[in-house]
Amino acid sequence: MKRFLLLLIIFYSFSLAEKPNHHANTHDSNIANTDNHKVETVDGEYIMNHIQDQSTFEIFNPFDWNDSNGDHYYYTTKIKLDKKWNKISEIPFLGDYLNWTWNPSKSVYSLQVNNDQLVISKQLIMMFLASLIIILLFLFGYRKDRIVQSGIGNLLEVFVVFIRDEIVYPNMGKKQGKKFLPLILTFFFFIVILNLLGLIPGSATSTAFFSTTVALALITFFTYIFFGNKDFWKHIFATPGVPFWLLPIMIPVEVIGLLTKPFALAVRLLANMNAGHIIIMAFIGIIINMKSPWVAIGAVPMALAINMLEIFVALLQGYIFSLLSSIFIGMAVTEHEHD
Amino acid sequence: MENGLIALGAGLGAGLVTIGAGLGIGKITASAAEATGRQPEAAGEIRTTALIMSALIEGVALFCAVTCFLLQGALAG
Repeated sequence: MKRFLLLLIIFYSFSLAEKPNHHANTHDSNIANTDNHKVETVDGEYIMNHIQDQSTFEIFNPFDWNDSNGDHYYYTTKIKLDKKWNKISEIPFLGDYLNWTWNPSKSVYSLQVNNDQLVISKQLIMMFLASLIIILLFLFGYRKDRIVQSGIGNLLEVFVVFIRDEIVYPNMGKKQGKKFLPLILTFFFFIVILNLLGLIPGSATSTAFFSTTVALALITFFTYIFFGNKDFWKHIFATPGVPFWLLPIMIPVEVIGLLTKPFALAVRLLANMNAGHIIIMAFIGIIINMKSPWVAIGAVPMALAINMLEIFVALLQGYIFSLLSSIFIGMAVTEHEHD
Repeated sequence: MENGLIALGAGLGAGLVTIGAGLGIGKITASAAEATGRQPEAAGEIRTTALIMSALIEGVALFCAVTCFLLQGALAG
């Protein structure tokens, strides 16, 4: 544990260290890349740029101690993603099936032809990685032929049983719960692993981008729209026990309530994941803003504490997302009696 | 001048939202802790209810936070 903490502190101290007195270099890249120029101060704009989807991975490299690759970042190797191999159409075999490009002459919409479309971005790579990790964990970690699991299988069993008995079954009932348990479990593991992967310095948090969180929330939305039973729709369009002259007010309110659920789900996850990253960036940025390495004595432990909090938040957000999803779906699919 | 006022409004709005959401979630947590103390066997249900209610409050707070965030678009330049 001590060694781990030391490693984290060392990495944080060096990963943002900059080479002074150097002009902004001009690496040409098609995708806007703002993290390449020399950093004088870490202000709001720099932080907001940093948490956006980038085309560069910054990977810790201990052999870069004298900035030998000339990217003005010590101890860092940058891997750019805007090369030719990165386009989906360039992938061998698979690219032939996915080789779809926008043809503006055949469409009513006048979108600009962008040569960078279908580029595998940083967040997409993180999602592939998370999916791969989940598949490998459940394929090789969980032994089906054993009743008592050990090691990783034990860990997975704790989570799966917790979600089944504490989240899904109480909210949906046993019959419906069995149907939706795989969905909720996938939500939980996907979000938790994405959040935890995002805490590794140099990687990206996919759940801190709208495209990911909105997609996840829309899955919940369409699930309860499609699987909602008669009772659910009756409660929206003809709420029992409400006088008929109130219906013109009640129906819009209920419909808005239907639509705000996925919105709140998406924004909650995004805001919680972004907040921690912004705070960590701000704490580390103090070192650069004050132009003195001694500030690191105060700033790095604080950033480390926030990082520890983030590990908790990563698990909590996965729990909250799966809990709320199961409640929303449960409200739509369970049969309930009226008194 | 106008830019400053917009930025001030967004910042103050976010702060006010935080006060409201903090008060709300604090009250829920206090009640949940009290209820758990009175009836420890119902801790699981109380926790779930408290989390759901906190999530609802958080939802409203997030709408307001997004509104404040959108004010960035009104800033000139």
